Amino acid sequence: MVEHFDVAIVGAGPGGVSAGINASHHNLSHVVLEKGEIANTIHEYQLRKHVMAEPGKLPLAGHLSFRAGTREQVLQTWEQAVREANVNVRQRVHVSRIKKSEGLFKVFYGEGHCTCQSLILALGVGGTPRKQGVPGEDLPHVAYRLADPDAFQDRDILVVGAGDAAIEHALVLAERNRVSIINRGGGFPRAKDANAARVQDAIESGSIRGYYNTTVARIEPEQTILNTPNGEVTVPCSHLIARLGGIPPRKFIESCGVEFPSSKPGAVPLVDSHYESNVKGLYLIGSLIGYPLIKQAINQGHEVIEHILGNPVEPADQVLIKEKLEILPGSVQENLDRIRLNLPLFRDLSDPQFRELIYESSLRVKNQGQLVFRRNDYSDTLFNIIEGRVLVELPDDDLPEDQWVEIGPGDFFGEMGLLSGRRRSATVHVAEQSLFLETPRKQIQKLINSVDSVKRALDEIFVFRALQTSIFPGVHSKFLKDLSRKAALNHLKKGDVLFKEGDEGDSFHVIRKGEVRISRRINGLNITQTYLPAGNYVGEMSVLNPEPGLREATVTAVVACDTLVIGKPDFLDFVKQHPDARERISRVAEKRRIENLAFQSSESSAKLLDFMLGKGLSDADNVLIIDSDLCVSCDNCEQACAATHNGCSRLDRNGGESFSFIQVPTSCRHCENPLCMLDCPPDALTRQPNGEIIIRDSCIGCGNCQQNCPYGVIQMVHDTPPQGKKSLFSSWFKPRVKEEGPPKAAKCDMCIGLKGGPACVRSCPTGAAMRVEPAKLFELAGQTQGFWK
Amino acid sequence: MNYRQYRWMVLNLLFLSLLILFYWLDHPVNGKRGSTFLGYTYGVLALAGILFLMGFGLRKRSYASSRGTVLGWLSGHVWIGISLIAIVPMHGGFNFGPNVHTLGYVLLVAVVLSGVWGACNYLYLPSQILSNRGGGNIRDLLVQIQVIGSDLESLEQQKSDSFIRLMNTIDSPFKPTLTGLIFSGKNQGLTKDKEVTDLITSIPRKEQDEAIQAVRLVRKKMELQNKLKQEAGAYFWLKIWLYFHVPLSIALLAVVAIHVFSVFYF
Repeated sequence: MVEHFDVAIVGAGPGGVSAGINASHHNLSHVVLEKGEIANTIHEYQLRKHVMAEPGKLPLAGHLSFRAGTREQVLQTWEQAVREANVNVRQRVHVSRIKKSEGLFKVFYGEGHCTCQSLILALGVGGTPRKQGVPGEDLPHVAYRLADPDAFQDRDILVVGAGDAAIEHALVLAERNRVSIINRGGGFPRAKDANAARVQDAIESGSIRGYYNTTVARIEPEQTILNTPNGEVTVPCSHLIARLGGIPPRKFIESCGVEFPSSKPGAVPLVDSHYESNVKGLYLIGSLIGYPLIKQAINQGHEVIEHILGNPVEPADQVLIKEKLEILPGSVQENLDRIRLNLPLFRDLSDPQFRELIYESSLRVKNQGQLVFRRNDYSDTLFNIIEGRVLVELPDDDLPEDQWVEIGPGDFFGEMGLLSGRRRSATVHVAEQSLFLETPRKQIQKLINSVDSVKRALDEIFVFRALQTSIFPGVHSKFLKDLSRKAALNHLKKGDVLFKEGDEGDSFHVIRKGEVRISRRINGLNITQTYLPAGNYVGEMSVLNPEPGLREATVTAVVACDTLVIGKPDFLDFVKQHPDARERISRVAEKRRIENLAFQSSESSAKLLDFMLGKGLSDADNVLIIDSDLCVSCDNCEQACAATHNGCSRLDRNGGESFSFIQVPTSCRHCENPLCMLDCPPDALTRQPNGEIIIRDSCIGCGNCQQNCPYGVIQMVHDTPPQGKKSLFSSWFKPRVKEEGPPKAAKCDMCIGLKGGPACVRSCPTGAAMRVEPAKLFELAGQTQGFWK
Repeated sequence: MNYRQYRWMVLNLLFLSLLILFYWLDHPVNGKRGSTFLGYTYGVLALAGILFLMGFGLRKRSYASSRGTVLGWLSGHVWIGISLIAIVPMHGGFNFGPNVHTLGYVLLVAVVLSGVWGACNYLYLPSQILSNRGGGNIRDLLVQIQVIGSDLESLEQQKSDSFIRLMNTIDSPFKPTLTGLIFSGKNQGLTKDKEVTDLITSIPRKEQDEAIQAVRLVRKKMELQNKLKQEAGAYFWLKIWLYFHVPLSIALLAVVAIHVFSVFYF
């Protein structure tokens, strides 16, 4: 007799458990099938790891309670909830296949199968850990996770893999054990830069043994045999931890008949507002459809059961949406529909994706004559025009106001800053009262990765507007659109050469992201002339004339770059039709040529430039430097920093590197492309309108930013209560600060809120400490300050 | 604010010239002295100047203050301090004697001179600090010297007498004392020396390689010692003057208080 259920739920994560509890609550016959433990992903966390409850403002629906806490607390709460609600959970069963026939789903697992009316897939995206497929891999000392690194001491441990998980395990274990890391390839390209650097340092210093181009041949109880480039090697091994990633569940989901909108790895299947997929009766919830957070999964698990029962249910995020839309007259649903109809960019979003977009964004009303943002502002949000019109003032002083570009309802702007990570490239004026949807960069990036049409639309408009703002203002949009369709996107890795001096010029490049170094051979030496950040173009000189022209400089990528390439024939074709544009561009080319010859950098200033580029200073927006010819090592700067930041200095005067008389202390540079901001779960790192990057109080102390910062300027410190009045003896009686909770990230905040600017600079008695934009570094070389002046 | 224009220097010199001019034009009945109108005025100016100078110490420690930059304050501190050397005697009509008033002036001169000494140190010594230019700091240098020292010691183990004689000639144990670091001149290093070469040739063949290695190590050690002297010396002179300047200025303040009190009381 085959078991039959009203609902079968695959996966006992927060979504699956929440759905199971609600099903039990409604007396639906149900089963939850789980390949491992309840909340397996959290189960596999390191012991006592902190589990976050983000986003803080999202309310929780349903019967499963959840609060941020340690792994153990969360697991205990959920296991108890499952027991109390009598949820029918079957653990350690592997669902291998699902078949739909005659309106019923057949779910095959383990040895048997069951049938169900409705099927909920809540299996997450972690997938099943990839195994090595070698003899001995099921021995008891072989594991696919590391629960408690403290449990190991003085052992021989092999870590297999080259990703972040493998590296992090190897590093933490190496503190008290003899650790080798087994890497199939020759490096760590998949890992975060910071992790790759840390493990390479550890291998160089000998604290971890690195085996490159090596695989595991077979595992024996006390030793493991490796296939190295020099043949088989036997190494002692008391524990082997393999972190080879997971097998993504996409194939399995597709085998159930669910369609994905694109073949990209980030794509998620589309579901309707009831989480139902294109297969009737098959529902998808949680990170499978792009909701990686625990609270979202719990809410969706609860809602999906109500939908199956046909009960009207208000989504948990409804309050957030209401809050966002309350400035508009009319019902929430009407307004949602209106916004959706007016914004073609978001046409292909699924219903839940669109709701998330709305509550993560803000509605803005602006009146005629107001500014939306100014050129060189630092904001990086995307604006969609729901109603109204704006005028984009292009960065060209010669251009009359009537040639400003007008855009209207359904259009968007702000993508240049968003995609390049740099300051706003134009000023936007409101032409008539307008309603905008302003969306944070992070949300748009999530959509770029998951919805193809969003990425395509942004890419196309970027090329078009890059050409329009930097090179051809005044040329009619229609012609520019034609040209921008001919542009190809070109990716460069750090250090790649775009073209070489003396090559024949066959293309023209607009730098979309990153920055390039321009260098020329002088007296047999390759001397850096300057660097150009995103938004500039290179290679115009040799493609302006129909005769073959040679490149006059070498262009190299300083960091990973994207450029847009336009071939010489297309370019010539275009300038033939637009003599104005041709004249304009040749004027710029001539200026550049004269500048190059007249202000050829000397060898020493080129060396300084190379030092700056090497230390990433060109990416800095505002960097603290110290003139060693003036610094008397009094450390007043550090004391000032500590005194204004709860007693903890965020700069290390002597910690950085120096070149000639310029010393670059370890202190935040407020990068143009801040890596620290890339992976901040609560979005606590934000850029202020004036360019500074600050850490807000919502920091949860995860430490991602600290690891991602290539310059080591972020520290994890405990919050200390503001100190009372300072007296001479206060340090004698200072109460011991009790350290509570996880430490939080701290770094230079440019003394935000302090009148007069950064305390470090203002406290330097000799004028040695300076906060400068990198472009000003050269000017400084000639004219330093001094107290005697 | 821009201190590149020598603002404080120019203002002070202008003001000082004016004061000198007035002093020169002033011919009071009872001779030039502190109790004339001009004398009182200059006295008040000098007192204000001294209070401003002391105020620098407070401003330097008010890290969150937005009242000017410490750089600006120091610039004012230097030039007003120097001006006081001339203003104070004009205040008293250049009447000196064995009294508390003259003691005050002597202290003022001592404070200003110690300050000028410090300012000169601030001007010339920062470029000597190696650790601010990518070099090792004092602790690193000490460790490196120590390591070389123990390397040399182990080289000496179970060697012939002539080897030990060579070592005694070229190497002396390193003791980082105050006089050794700050007040002794730089080491000339181990230069080409016939005597050393002769000593090495006199050593048994099998020990010669190690002897050459020892000479290299000694040269390296001397180089490091010179760096250490330079670094420690720069730090020493950058800090030591304050131990005169600050106590002297506090003594000055006390004497000035006595001076003001006694002048008005009697």
